[in-house]
Amino acid sequence: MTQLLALQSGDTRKQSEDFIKELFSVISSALAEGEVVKVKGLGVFKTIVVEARKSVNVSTGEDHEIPAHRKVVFVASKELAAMVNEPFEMFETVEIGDDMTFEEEEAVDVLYREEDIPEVSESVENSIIDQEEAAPEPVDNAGESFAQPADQDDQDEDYTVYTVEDTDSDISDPADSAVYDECLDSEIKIISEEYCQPDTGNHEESQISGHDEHRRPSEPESEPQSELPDRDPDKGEGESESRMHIDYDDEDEYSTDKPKSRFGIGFIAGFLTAVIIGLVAYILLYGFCWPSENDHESATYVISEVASIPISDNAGEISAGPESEASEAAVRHNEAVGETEETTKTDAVPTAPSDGPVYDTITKTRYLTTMAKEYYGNYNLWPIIYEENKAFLGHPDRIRPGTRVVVPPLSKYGVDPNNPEDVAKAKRKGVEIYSRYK
Amino acid sequence: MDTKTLISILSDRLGREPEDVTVLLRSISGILADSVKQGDTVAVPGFGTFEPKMREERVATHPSTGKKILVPPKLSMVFKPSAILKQRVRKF
Repeated sequence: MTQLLALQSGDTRKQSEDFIKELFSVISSALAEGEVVKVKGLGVFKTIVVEARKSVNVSTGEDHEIPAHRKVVFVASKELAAMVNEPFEMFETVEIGDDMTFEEEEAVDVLYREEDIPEVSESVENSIIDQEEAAPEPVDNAGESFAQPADQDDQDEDYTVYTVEDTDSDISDPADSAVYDECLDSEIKIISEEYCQPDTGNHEESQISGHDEHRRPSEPESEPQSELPDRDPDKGEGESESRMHIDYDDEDEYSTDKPKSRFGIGFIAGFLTAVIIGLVAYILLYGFCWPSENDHESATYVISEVASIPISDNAGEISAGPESEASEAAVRHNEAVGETEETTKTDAVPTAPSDGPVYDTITKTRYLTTMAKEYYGNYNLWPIIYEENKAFLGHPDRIRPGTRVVVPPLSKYGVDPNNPEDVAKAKRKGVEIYSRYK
Repeated sequence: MDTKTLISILSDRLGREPEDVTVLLRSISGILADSVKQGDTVAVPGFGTFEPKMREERVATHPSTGKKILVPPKLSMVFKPSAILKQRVRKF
């Protein structure tokens, strides 16, 4: 405050500080004497007497008396109060008509909180209760004595309150009643007209009443009853809208509708989330197969999730991912090679080590290592198979399922599976192969 | 004590002209109002604090006509004395 004062008055900071100190010091001293201090433009500082009262010591629980004393009270001047209230000065106290809906319900809450107008809350509450009691009656009577629009005109207020409660059923009922389909379109049309042209509310009513009367004899007893509650609030809404032109009705319905539709929306949202999660899981499960990743090492990527269903040897027909173009060409090449040389497809047939030229197919569960183990007795010898087929094999971990490879005889490379040196050599070869693709 | 007296006392003590004092007083009330209507609490050490208080909109009955009225929201200023001041004033 000192700073602001200095700025405004052009004094130095010290001066302003001194001023403020002095001012309030004078005021406090006066107050201590019991004097009243009036400051024009600011307000009145005064002391009032407080009577002695009984009280309880909060820590010990003992009773003790607070002696009579004086306390300081400040009342802002009108000027100051007006300045402070500037943000709200555009508002005025407004008279409300007798149609009470939203404001009234809100007012009940507000009035219960504030104690300065106790009598109002009671009367407001009573009038709400009256209206609510009156509201259900038209519903009950609807089936028997079809309350004509003339009556409903008078019970305008009832319908507005009634609207609030019943719009929920308004939403749910159409789904149930099949008879609605017939007249629903025309009904909707009329209702929408009502909303668009609130001033012609009366005109619309007569239209509806004619419509009702016409339909009544054609429907069995149950239908009019179920339809009417929905019809009436709509009418009521139109009427009240035309008369009040306040948005409270919409807000009100909106707020009461919300709980039900919120529930539905939450349910749908949860369901969608579950579906999305399922999709993601599915993609994770099978996604790696589509870009044709399949190798003895692919187990590290798709370990526990991969199903044990081997992809058929015709996996070459599976649509390839972008990265597998080369391998696709390789597969074609391989298949062509396979066709020219041999036509028999060989499934996994364990043969004795160092057999004749054999063909095998890579699948999701058959890797180079698997073959090495089967044909050579040691899975570390997979590089041998790799080298034999390296023309059309890319990264050893990403060999497409269905790739047909030639399993060369060990004698071709002079490798002895029982010789640890040879095995070590093969391992180093494997490392070298990997390094090619790093 | 009314405003004039206050001003004269202040001008004596501070050695300023009464006009200056008046101007200063005005500025103070303006500053107070500005701060409080923005929602800030203004504290004066050893004296007390000036705080904003919001009164919400409410429905009331017009005292004479008995009709329902809608009272608009209002922002006002409240003064809370500091402990020192309370102590000074407390004794009878």
